[in-house]
Amino acid sequence: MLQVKSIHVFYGDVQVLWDVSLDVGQGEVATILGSNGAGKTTTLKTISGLLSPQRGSILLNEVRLDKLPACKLSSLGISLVPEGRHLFYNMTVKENLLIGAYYPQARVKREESLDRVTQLFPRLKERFGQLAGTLSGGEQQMCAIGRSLMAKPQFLLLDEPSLGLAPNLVQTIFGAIQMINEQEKVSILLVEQNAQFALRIAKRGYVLENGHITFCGPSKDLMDSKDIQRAYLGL
Amino acid sequence: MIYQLLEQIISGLISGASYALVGAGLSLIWGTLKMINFAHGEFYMLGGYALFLGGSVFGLHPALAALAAVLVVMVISCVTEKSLISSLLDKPGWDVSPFVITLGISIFLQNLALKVWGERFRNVPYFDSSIYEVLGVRISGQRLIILAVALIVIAVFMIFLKKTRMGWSLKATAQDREAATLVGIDIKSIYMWTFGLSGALAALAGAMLAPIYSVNPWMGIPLLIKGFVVCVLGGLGSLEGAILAGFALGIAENLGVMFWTSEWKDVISYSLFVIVLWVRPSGLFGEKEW
Amino acid sequence: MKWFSVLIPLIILGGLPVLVQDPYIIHILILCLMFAALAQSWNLLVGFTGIFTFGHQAFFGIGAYFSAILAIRLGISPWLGLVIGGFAASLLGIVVGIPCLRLRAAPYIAIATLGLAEISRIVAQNLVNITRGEMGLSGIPEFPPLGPISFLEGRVPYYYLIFILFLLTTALAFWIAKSPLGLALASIRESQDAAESIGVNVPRVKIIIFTISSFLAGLIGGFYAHYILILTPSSVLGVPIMIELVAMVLIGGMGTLMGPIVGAFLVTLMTEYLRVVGEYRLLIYGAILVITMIYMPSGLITSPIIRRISLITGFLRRIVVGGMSSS
Repeated sequence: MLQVKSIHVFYGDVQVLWDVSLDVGQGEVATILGSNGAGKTTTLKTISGLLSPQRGSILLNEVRLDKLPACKLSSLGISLVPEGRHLFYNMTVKENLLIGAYYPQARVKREESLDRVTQLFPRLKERFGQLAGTLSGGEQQMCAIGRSLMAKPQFLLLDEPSLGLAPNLVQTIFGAIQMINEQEKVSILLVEQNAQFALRIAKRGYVLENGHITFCGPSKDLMDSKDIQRAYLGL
Repeated sequence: MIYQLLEQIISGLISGASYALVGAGLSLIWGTLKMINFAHGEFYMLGGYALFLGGSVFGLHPALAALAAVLVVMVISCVTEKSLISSLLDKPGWDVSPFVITLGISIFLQNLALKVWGERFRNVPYFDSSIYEVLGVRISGQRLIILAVALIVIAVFMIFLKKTRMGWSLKATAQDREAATLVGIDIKSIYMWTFGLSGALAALAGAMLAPIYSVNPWMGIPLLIKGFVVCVLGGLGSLEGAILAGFALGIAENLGVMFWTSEWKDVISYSLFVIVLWVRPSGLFGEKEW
Repeated sequence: MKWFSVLIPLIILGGLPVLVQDPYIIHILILCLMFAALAQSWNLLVGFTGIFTFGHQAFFGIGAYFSAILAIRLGISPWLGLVIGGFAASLLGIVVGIPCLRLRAAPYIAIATLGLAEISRIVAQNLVNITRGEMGLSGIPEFPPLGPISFLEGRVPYYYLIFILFLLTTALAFWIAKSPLGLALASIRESQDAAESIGVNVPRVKIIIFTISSFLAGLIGGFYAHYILILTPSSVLGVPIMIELVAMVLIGGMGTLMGPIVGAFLVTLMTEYLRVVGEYRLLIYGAILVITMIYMPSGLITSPIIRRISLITGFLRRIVVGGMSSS
């Protein structure tokens, strides 16, 4: 169970998140919706340790995360697929995946994890020897997700996985995310601008506006809400 | 004529070996920490002095003294990074601050050496005083050792980068810090080890060349400049480029001496490097981040 | 900037030679003013435009050598030689500036300019027939008399000459800072791409500032030649000068107008004082660079400690001025 309790996050002197609380249960898919600049990426970065909250706390199964250095979090079960993918562009696809299994326990299970990732994304296997920088957008996204999976996470955080992808690839990615949740039993926190898809696969959703959580509830409620429909679903 | 050419090429390979080591260290720091270490020459110098201490003062066998020198300087480099450089990382003004601070460290170390050991050139005995004949050219054993050790160390280092977890961490940190952190790499620790390895490479070059050129507080300065030239020619950020460029520079310099006098030698190499910076800043193999 | 905080130091500086008779102190002050002007000329590149060059000594040295050689070989008046030296330096400035048009990253610019400066030093060293190399170019004539003022006795005329050059450089820097050029430079410093997108002709502006900066440095170099009367490549074209400039601008405050001046005075005086300490001088120097970088990276002018001190001195100044006006 991942719990974010009333975090306040600053960039230098500028506050960007106010009193943000959310939680993701074991095996759940939850989503954070919001327009550009709302603070979605900041939230994920804070959970994965790249940023530190000034106030509030973040807990994973009762263990405090926010005081730990970011590099420790992947061994505790949190894995972030960052916005813009951040692949190691001068390494091959295979190397990117292998380095994903960095901490010792994941490293031991490397080969097995690699198999599961290639089952999930067969296209990656074809590209194993290619430099990550030469892949198409969709393939890069698959590689990024695959790399995060190699760390055997309990919780997968995804920052706008559909960004810049053609519609059919968006389908593929979201399908993969669902499979990751159902088959690998990984809990998912998904940040998306593409609300349609996000609400379809998530059980619960949050809406972030200007650094504040303005709405939270089951996806159905979100989809039915007139405000959400207007603001994020283009209806 | 052929004999002369061969002699210069072999000579060039040997001086190129030290340029390659020094250049590799500088390139490593540039690639991973994105900074220029102006004090790099001083780690070379400290390597030389450490050998001098190990050999003449503690009476160690040359090989042992050299190893000790490398390890000692490695520790000093790590400590330097941890205590002085890491506080500047990710702070504003990063493109200039490491240049200035390593400049200060460089001046400090040069004058510390001056204070402690004086300005007299110190002699260090050759590891091997015999002369060998290779391909008809007479070379001292010392120079052959330099070449052999340098080639072995470079090979080991490249394997280290390609095959070990630590080597991968270094490469990953150089390419994308955020991604490296997310994958679980402790980049602060990587920065420290990068400095340490870089210093070790420089110290190795310093220790091995000490018997030939003797040790003095300013011996690092020309090596630093050569290191810059080598890194730029090979492409800042490309380790293989720096190593190849190191050997190439050594050979080019020695061949060049056949055609023009030695006092113009440096002008030629500086001009070459300015032209390369102008025409193709990414050097022979480097990345496009200029 | 309050007018009295500018005027009072200027009056003090202007009146000093009258009060102080010791030629050694005058000499130190000449060096202070000279470095202040030189540091300010470099500040145009590094502080105003954000281009961290590491070869500024080349402009200084070229100006010095040109003026000296022209005077010795061709009998050209040092007054003219000064200006010609400036132009020669600005030509070199354009040559140095051109690769910097493409290069963006500070380390590349630093080592490229270092390379070019070292080339000029070695060339000067090797062309012994013209420059006498490291043996030293001596016999440089002093400035010919300006009306009744003779430059042959004492240093005071030199003091006022460098004082004028200092005022010129500082005034020019102030003027540029407030002008459209200054705005263009600042935009380049903050983001070259953004500057281009708002219509700044970045290459042209860079060449302009390189020309101005190097011309000033050459001018100052010419002054130095006819003051010190002997030149060697290592003394006027060497890296140590650059290191001092970096220290001065850094300690004083990069990117400010008063920073290079304060830094120049501080470092020059400190260097002289430390000469007493002798062997530890450079050691302390290096340590100061390191410590400044860690604890006071934006220099003295902007650091909180100095802010507090200047509040006090501002208060004192108000008392003094208030006292003066009521009497």
